[in-house]
Amino acid sequence: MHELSIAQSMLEIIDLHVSKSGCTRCTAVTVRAGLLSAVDEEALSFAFETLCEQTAHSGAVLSVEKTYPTARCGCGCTFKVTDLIYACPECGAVTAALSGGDELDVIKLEVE
Amino acid sequence: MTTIDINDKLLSKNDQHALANRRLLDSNGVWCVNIIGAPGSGKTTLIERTADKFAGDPEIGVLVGDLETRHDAERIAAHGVEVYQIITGGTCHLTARVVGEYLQRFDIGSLDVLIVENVGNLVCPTSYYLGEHNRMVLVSTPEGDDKPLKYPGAVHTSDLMLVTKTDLAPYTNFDVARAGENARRINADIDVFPVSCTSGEGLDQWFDWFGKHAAEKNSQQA
Ligand SMILES: Nc1nc2c(ncn2[C@@H]2O[C@H](COP(=O)(O)OP(=O)(O)O)[C@@H](O)[C@H]2O)c(=O)[nH]1
Ligand SMILES: [Mg+2]
Ligand SMILES: [Zn+2]
Repeated sequence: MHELSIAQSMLEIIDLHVSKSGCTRCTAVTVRAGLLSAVDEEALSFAFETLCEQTAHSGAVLSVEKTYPTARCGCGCTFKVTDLIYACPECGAVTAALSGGDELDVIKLEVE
Repeated sequence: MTTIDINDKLLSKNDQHALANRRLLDSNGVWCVNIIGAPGSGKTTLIERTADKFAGDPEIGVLVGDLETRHDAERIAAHGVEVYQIITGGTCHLTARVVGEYLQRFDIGSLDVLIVENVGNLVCPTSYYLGEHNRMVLVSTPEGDDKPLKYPGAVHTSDLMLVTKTDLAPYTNFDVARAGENARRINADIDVFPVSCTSGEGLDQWFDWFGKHAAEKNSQQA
């Protein structure tokens, strides 16, 4: 899927911040990925590890912080959505409006 | 060891190309719709009907993705629109980069609408934004009314679901209302129109949707 190109983009961001910080390599990276960004965590780890192998960041550890959309139902109920197929736990309606949960950001790096 | 807190958006290479396509389309007032659907769901036939209906107003261009053959582009070209076949050579989706390359072939200033027929597949094309303004998914009645539930990603990212080949519904256990309910469980805002390109049933609703979106985009430009 698109995880390989996301991993490429991660490496670009890492290179930029590592060189700005005057360090030489990145040892850990944290990504925040919302449910709606449809990123497969395993595929992303695999792609990232593979791409890192050829670089100074070889062995860098990836952590993924998952986020989920919040649904607001017409009945007044607010709930967390953990699957694309969801229904309101109070009234069973499937029409609750979603907000958030579409993030895909690099939020933290460990560099040395 | 130092910890750096950042907040950088991760745009895949594909998204970067997609945004470039989107800017090019926007600056030329071209509305773009990306059609996703299984092989045989009726994508090419729908484009043929649409080309006949609008007959140059708005001016339509088409890109067709296919694994191997040029057949679809020849079919569409016979209806008087400029069309290019993108042969992906086994890749199961179009990428924004390749769409960007083919966009160069059009005289984009004279184009009003770009229709992209994606490779027949309900999974992979879903993850590749091409820069389109609207995305739609086709589900034909022989495929079953639970199809939206089996491919939630395609429904979730689409603005419109067309239930195609409604003329065949009597021969299947496809229930159009149930298909719509299933789709709205995944995407409460999705429009669902039943159509048949064979009988013509429901096509007016589709033409209205298409014409309205194209006109909105073109008026933004003016
Ligand atoms: N019965 C019926 N057949 C259709 C309809 N639309 C398309 N088809 C047929 O379905 C087959 C596949 O259509 P096509 O447009 O090539 O599908 P694509 O692979 O999604 O582009 C062709 O034989 C079409 O003639 C329809 O509304 N009703
Ligand atoms: Mg086709
Ligand atoms: Zn509710």
